[in-house]
Amino acid sequence: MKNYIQLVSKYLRKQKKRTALTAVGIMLSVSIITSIGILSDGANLQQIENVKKSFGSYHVLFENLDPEEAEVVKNHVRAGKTSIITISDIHGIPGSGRKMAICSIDDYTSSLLDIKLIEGCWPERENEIVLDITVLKDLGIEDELDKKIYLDLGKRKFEFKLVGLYEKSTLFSQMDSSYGIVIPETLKSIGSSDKFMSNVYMETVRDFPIMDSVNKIISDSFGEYKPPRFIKKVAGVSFMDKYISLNLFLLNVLGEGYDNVSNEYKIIQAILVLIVFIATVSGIYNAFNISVLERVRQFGLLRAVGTTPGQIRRIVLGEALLMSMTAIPAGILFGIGISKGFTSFMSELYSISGIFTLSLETLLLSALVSLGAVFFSAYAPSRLASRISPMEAIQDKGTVLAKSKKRKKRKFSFIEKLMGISEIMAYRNLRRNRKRFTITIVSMCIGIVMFMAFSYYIRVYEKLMFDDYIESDYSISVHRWSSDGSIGYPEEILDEIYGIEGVSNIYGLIKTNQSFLLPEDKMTDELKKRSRTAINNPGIYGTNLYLYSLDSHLMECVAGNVKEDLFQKENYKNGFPVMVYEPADEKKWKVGDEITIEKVKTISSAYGSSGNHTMSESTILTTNEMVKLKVAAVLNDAPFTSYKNRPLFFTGMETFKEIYPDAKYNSIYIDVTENADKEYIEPKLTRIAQSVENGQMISHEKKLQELNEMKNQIMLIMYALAACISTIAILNIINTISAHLIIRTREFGIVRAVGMTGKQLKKMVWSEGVLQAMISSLWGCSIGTAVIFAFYWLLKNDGHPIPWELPWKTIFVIFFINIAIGLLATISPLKRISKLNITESVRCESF
Amino acid sequence: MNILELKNLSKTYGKGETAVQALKGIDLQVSQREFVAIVGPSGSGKSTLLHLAGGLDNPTDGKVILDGEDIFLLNEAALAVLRRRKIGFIFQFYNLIPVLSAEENILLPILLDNKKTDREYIDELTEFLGLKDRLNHLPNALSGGQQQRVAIARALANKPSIIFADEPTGNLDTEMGREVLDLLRLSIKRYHQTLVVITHDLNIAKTADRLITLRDGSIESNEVVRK
Repeated sequence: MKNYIQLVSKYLRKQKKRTALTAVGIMLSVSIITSIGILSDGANLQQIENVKKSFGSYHVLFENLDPEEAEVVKNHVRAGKTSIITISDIHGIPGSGRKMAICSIDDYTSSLLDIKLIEGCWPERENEIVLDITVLKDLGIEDELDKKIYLDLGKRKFEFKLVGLYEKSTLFSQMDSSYGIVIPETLKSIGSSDKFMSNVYMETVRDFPIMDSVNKIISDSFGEYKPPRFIKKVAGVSFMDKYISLNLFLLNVLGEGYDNVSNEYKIIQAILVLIVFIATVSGIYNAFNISVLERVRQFGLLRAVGTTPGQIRRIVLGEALLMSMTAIPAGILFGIGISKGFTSFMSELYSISGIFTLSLETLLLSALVSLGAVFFSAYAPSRLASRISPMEAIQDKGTVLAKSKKRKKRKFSFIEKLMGISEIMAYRNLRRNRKRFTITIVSMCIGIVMFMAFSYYIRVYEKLMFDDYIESDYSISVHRWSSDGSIGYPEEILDEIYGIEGVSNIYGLIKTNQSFLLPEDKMTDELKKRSRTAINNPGIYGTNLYLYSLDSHLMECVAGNVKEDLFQKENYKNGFPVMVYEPADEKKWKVGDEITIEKVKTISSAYGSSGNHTMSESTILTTNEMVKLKVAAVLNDAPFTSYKNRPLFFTGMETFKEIYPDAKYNSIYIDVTENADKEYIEPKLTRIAQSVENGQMISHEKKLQELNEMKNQIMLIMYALAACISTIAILNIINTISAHLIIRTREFGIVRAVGMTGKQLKKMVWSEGVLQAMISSLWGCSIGTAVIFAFYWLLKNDGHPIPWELPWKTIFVIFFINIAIGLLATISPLKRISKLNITESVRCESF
Repeated sequence: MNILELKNLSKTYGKGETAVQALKGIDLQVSQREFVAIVGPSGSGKSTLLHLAGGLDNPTDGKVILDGEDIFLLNEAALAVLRRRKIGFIFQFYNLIPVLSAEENILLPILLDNKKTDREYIDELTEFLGLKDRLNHLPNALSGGQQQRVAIARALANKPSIIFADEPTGNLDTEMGREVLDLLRLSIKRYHQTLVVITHDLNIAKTADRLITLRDGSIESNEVVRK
């Protein structure tokens, strides 16, 4: 041996079992960190992909630009992948009520907007056209490619060659016009370019923050309008006839947005990660602490022959390093295995794919975090080892590290009087080394808290995702919303539905997205970020919020005591009465407040609440008339939706019809009698639903089934993740308890020497496991309850859908599982202890 | 009458080339109320002999008859019961249970037996061993001598027929050692017990009734010191 540090490898080699136990402890903890990293990476990527699919992959959209302006924007140095869509005038399709325009796209359009070609190819030559598959019928064209077609575009007919058909992407479906897609040259040939407008969809360059690039492009391209730092405060801005909006949905998932709504969830996720980190550190700390406690005598002897405390510390930390060199890679591999196995299990079972992704960054980060955790955890045990006095070890009294206060007197306590000697010893053993006991309890508690937090998180997630807010048997609805309620089902349809045999009740609803002009005092910071402001009036914010117009039955649902009476016509003079719901604790609204909405005259297609305004709506914004609303009631809760983080407005159907006399129902909920013949009713309702374009009938029973299937998939992912973490936590607990028993081998030998039978020994060890489980369950459940109460409190401000209640079921399950684990953990060490003969046990070094 | 009989008792540790024969066919009889001292150099098999005689370890060959019973024919539970009722052990390093008070350590064999404590006897025993005012102390609050006295009291608590002591004074200073041994001697006299002591101390050995010398796993001499 050349150097004392070689003691490290010699010890590790000699004590293979102990080394393996500690290394397994480290490996398990590392695998938690790694699998969390990989799984959340995967989930994040999946989310980004989903958002890109639904909202496109562009970062910013410039609308209504002149083709020349569009080129300037496209050629900006900060512009990355950019697509210009230039659109001709919109024309009605004769005899169908639908509208159509011709637009030119470029190479990047399909990737930035996620338009899918179903048949054929994209246009490459002049006069080639690709059409939306749904518009063929309206145009009277047969579904045949490479045929000549004639389109009536305003003044004259144009001839095209149909080369492909596309499926409306989610993004395109927000626009109520249908588009014929051509190359730019074709577009030029069908009209004069000064009537065209261009929309520019852009991804900014990667090397700079997205917001920074967007602002730079705006100020460089539209400097004369001087948009003052607007983009930092609001989601979009309109100036002159132009409109610039961010793809906030994407920016938020990319972490470049400012979606404060998800902050609470981020906090919860951060807390979960922190809990896992603490579990890891405590797991590794446990393993090292035990390995030091087992070798008190060895360290004492080393001290006796002149090893300095610093050298002892280095020996222990050296062991940590050496073990990390194998345990961390093994843990990472194990973590990858867990995540991979889990992902492929999920995809096999539910054909959910694409969640598993490996990035070098995540693996390196996991390795670094783990290495940090190992050293952080090994430091305290190394200090402990360096403090061992040579005398204590040489004397070998067996109570060498009993640093607990010397309690001189000990009498049977009340509890102990109820127990037998095996239980008393178990109880005392637990309490004799407070530190060791605390560590075990803490690591068990962490497992419990993790389980409780996860269960709660799952419950909240479930509630948020799958809140079915109107309970009825069927609904018919139009999936395009208009701000003036002009798209939907007319009043007569109600009678028609009533006429169907078996229908018992009908409720009507008009959900519209109104452009509210709100003064600054009604704006929360959150709301400001979703709003636009006009350059010439920065004190007024234009924001899209929902206005629900309800029939009298639904009106009663909103607030038991608020009736249509509140909405008497005489009020209209001073403003149309509405009820406002505002998220808890904001207190910005009171009865009597006046607000303005922009009344629209044409069909619009505002969809969502921010960022994604289509060309047609921006046209509407310039042709408006103001309508004054007056707050008649402030609501504490809002039905019909789970998204309660923004103000929502409710009004009676009559009021809404005062504003928009032609308003139609866009959702009708239908109840049927118990004996109703569903096979008779469903086709009838479907026909009625489809009498309006984009209308559909939903059977809530079937929808519930579909939702349940989806819910089960997502729940399975969540539970599997929870199970993954719990398994590792359980293994850690088992490791800890068994190690604690193993280091007391000698003590067990002594009690056997003085006549304890195998049965009594088992009873004692089992009692220890059960007691430990019960105490940790008690602590864990108390802390866990506090943690989920904190979650509840955080979420309360976000329109939290679950009322507070004690998680009795979870607590019961935890006690049960924990006791089972406590007993399970004693099996292997008990076997080992019973196998050793008494003489060997008594000779054992540790005590 | 013999309380203990060892017949052709052998013990081999390890196997094959590394096998070490610790005891080589020992035959020995110990009478009731006898005080036997076993001496011998390190590695001569003293402790092995004591452990086998007390049923703590299994022999490779041979028998141990204790109070007329072949102890290795008993199952594990019966052997444990025999240990707590008929045998008292005293170890060099006291081996007290750190979580139990002195009194609880003493009562341990009785408590394990679910028997009612003979309070009078225990009081007398602790008084006799000078532990009366130390009963509620935990082991780590006692001196070495006191801990060894607690270990002696534990060995005597169940009024065993025979006491095995493995260098009971080895960890104590001379005076304390003498004191402990006097107590042991007095105790067996008072409670009519048999005592088998392993010791390195020839002065102690000379006070025994019989002195057995072991060497290389065999009995070298077996002499009656006094009658």
